[in-house]
Amino acid sequence: MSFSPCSIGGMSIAIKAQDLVKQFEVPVRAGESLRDRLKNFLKPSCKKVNVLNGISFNVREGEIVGYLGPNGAGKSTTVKILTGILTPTSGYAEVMGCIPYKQRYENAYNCGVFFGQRSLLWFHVPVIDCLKLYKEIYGLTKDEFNERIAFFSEILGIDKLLHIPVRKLSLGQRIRCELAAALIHKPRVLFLDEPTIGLDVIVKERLREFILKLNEVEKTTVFLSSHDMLDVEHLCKRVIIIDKGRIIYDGSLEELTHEYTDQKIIYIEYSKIYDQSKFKSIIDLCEILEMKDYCCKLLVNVRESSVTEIVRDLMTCCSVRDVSVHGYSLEDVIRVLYRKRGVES
Amino acid sequence: MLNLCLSGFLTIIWILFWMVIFSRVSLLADWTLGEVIILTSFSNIGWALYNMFLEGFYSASDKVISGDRLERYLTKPVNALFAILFEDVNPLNGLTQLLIGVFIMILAVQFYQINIKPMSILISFLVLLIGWLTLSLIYGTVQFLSFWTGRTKGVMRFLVAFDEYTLYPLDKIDRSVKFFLTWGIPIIFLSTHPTLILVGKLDIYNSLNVLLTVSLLFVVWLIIFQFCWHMGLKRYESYGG
Amino acid sequence: MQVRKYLMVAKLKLADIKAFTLDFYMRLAYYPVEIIIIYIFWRLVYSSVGDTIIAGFSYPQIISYFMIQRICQHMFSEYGISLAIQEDISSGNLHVYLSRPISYVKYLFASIVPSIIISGGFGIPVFILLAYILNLPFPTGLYNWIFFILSLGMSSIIVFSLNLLIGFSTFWFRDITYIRWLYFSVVDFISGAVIPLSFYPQWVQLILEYLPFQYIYYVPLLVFFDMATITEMLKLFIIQFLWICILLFFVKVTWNKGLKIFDAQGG
Repeated sequence: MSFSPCSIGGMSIAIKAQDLVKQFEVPVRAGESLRDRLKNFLKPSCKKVNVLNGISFNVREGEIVGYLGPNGAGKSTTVKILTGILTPTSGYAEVMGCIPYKQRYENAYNCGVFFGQRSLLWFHVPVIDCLKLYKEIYGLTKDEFNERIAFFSEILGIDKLLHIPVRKLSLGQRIRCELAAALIHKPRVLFLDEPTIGLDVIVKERLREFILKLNEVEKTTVFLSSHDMLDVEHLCKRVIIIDKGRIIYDGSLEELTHEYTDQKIIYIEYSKIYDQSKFKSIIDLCEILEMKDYCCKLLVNVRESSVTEIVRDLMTCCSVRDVSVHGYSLEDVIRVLYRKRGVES
Repeated sequence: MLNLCLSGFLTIIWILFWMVIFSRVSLLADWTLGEVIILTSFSNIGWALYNMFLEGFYSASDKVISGDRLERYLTKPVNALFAILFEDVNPLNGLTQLLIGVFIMILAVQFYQINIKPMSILISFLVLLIGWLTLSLIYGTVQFLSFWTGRTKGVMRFLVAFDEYTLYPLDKIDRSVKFFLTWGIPIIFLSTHPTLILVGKLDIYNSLNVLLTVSLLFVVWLIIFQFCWHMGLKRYESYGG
Repeated sequence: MQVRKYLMVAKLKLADIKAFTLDFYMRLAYYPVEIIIIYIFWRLVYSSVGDTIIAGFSYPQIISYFMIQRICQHMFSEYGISLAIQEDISSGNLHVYLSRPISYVKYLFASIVPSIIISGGFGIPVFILLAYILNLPFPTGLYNWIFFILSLGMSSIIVFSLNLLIGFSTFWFRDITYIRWLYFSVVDFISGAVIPLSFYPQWVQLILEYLPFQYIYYVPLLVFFDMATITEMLKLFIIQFLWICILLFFVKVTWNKGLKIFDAQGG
């Protein structure tokens, strides 16, 4: 059923990427004058843009990996290469032993792909008929198909949706059916590209639960490319962060946030400062993130200073209107990471 | 720019078509090649004017069905009807087609040495304009039926199938068909009658007769159109959109 | 085994068509409207020469010609494949097909087959009925029908390949609205859809013989009206088949080249 006629080679590495480089030719907009536009029409000029600058990583079978990066970092491009849609300019990629861009069909049998916004092959018919199309596409037997439907009914709750025409489904219902379609052939690897965009909180949670269950029961490797930090926080133990086509972090999520668990951010709003010099001396103890007229944001390392002391001291030298203390969220961590890399490079 | 080339190219192809026909027959009923070319140019001019100003009548249904667009108009200090019909008017859309139509017409008149009285020009163009306005009103009325029936795409497609007819001379045809094309869907006023008036095949009395007839149709459809709009709006309001 | 997936596509497309039955029946309403103007026009043309034969066609023959030609046109042009391809490419929907073990081209072919069969299945009997009532010529021999359907089958593949090529030009031109407009307007004139090609002067006919377009409507209709001898028919079939091979080859080349561009521009 899910056959991989290429050799797996005895390794338990599901996804392998080696020095992937991808260059795009972006057409350059012509100048405003008629002559420029005519020139551009006859001989369009292109700019070569390196979207991926040497991406390497290995993902073991059964891992759930989060693939993060700002817009334009190359996340979608990586996923497209791994699913055989694009061919890398140089470098090597392998999924379950198959080279995706060379063995497109074989790779398609091994992978399940889910592109958040994009619809899979749908017609104006009930869900079950569309799923039957997938049955034919992947060559499942009747028993295998029914088994999968039962599995999805249990975990995704799609049994009530099977006979509704696709057009009449709500977004959350559609996403569930699309996931079923992406996984109908029991792929060893699941690629998710922005899966929870546009979904409400409850549906998002159900989706995350589903992915965790799937990984638990079927040991499916999950490659999650997303913007949504909460998705990553809930699902992934390992994250790979890329920026401008390069990997800037590849490791466990815990390690990443560990460095920052000792840091706390104090946000304080005040209306009047009584003691200017004392105020300044307290502020200098911390790292100043933001300083405006009547508010400031301070970064405190809890191993070195005590948050309560600092707040208490501040309260004695100015009339505080509002105080809040919080730790780094994953988003903050990543933002710092980007900033650091920006400074370094 | 591309638009210009394409419209010109297609018009030329159509004129070549007529030339092929006339290479086989010397006369088409009592139409000469020159007259037929003028017919083509009237058709082009009419369509160009429609595309430039009257497109709104055809797509009124889309704006009406998607309720929030209608609400947008109703909440502003504008006449909702005019907004629906004329909001997306883009006079540049058919400009090239218009220019080509006029150009071909002038060429044909010169080349075939057709005698034209100034009065004929005025009347023929008036007939053309009023004819197109009437057809647009018919489109609009059908579109407003979507207040009641939802989708009107099917009927519109059927109406649009008559578009082709403007390219053919329709004066010497079966009585029943001619009747339908005059009093039902007034295609005959869109190209055939203007051409006949312009080239002088209809004397002044008959020409004015035609003008009067088309104006009458215009007024009748205007009343029906307004009526449908008001009834439709009432229904829209009572159903909350 | 691979065929089954495409059969499924056809089956679903059929269900799609059924879902829009009203739409479908309204399209059938065009037919009389189209036929009326054809009848009017050709009556005018033939009235001035008194019912003799023009360019090989008598008046009843030419009416019959266009009646069946319009049905064939409905069979071929109802699915707007070039538009669908343009949308799939520019919206990036193509990714969905590329990441699955399914061939895009075969998928497209499977999705047009139902509409051809339905349009033909409804249209041809309607034509026969009308032709019988109005006393118009149509072939009565079994051979004629077999050859006609064979020829029509081949021309549907030609139309399909040409539409594919137009659709694939999206890889190079992004917005192919003008290309499509131009193509469809011109093809009508050189495929026998507006007038039978025998009306054109000899030199034009000679040029057209070297193009695939006449095989879309004109040649099958010639076969239909028994206007070609057996040897001529065989010759036409062979050339038609050759054109299919040539066009399918171009389709393959264009698809591969187009994918490279798609690849280089990130999809």
